[in-house]
Amino acid sequence: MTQCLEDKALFLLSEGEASEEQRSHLQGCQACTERYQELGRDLRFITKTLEQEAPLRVPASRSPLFYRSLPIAAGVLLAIGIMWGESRFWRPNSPSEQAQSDDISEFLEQVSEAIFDGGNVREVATASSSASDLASLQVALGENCSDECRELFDNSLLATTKSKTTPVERSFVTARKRPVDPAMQHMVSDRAE
Amino acid sequence: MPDKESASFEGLYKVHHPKVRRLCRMLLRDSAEAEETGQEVFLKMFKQYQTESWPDDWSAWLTRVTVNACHDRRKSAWWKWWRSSNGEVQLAEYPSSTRTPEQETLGREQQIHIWHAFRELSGRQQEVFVLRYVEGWSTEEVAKTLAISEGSVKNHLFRAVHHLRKTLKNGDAL
Repeated sequence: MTQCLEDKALFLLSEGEASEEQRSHLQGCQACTERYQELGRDLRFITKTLEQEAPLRVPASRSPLFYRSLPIAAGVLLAIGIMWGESRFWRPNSPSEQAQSDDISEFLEQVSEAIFDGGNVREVATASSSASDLASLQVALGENCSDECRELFDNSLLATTKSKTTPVERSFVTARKRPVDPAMQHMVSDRAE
Repeated sequence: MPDKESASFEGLYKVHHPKVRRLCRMLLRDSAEAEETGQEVFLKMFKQYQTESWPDDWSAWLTRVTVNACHDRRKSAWWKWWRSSNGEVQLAEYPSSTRTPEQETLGREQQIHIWHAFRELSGRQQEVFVLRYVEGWSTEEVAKTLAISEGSVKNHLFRAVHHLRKTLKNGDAL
């Protein structure tokens, strides 16, 4: 055997576990003998050091509470962020919101048909059941209301005020207010009284 | 046959307490935890003492129980990272009269390097190293106590020795 022994082979030799070939190499090789002796010295030194009293931990050298709290704080923030994100972006529409949205769409569709398709105006008028609705619609239509449309509103207002139907507020219509025709406004208020 | 003093529980405690304490301090990072574990070990010893089925060798029995207690403590103490992480190793100050001239010559920095390296070893590597070199047990005894094969003991030992020697050489180079 001409090649020098590896560290593990030297270690196993120190543990009394090696082949005859390795032993004979160790006896004949100066470099390996020195390495083997060095291993023994190191082991004795390390063992001596560890046989002394174990080192104490110094409380003052511990990292401040702030730095040790960081991982937990980060975790809490992440959890809050996930919950917020879920409620903000991924929450499906509630049934009541969906229904309201459908109502608005349907109503606007009817209004649109009333404006752009004269034949269906009557249907829109009959679909509106209260005076307030009609008045609001009229106000919303403003100057764009055709003569036929105005006449229809007048008739409907008369009929509904006489039957004393409770007015219902429709905020989404008032939100879309347009410039009101003063003559129309005056006429509506007279009729309502 | 144990003599009269060491046969009493107090006698056994007096004889073996320093060793148990040292083992616990070596295998556990926290000194308070080491003290607690030492107390647990002597509680077990007391129970064993009361049964009167005494082991042939109290020293070996205590070493085995201590190593296993420290092993269990380390396994169940993951959460203690919270209160004990990032502590710095610092050698304890002891009266110089307890140190041999050889110990006095050991460089303080080098000792800290070695202790750091020892703390970096895995729990199993620490146990194997302590039992084999500090306690002077045979590979077979270590394997039997830790319930692992002799081959595993040698592998753990080699890795531990390699790491410690590397640190020692780096410390010399500094």
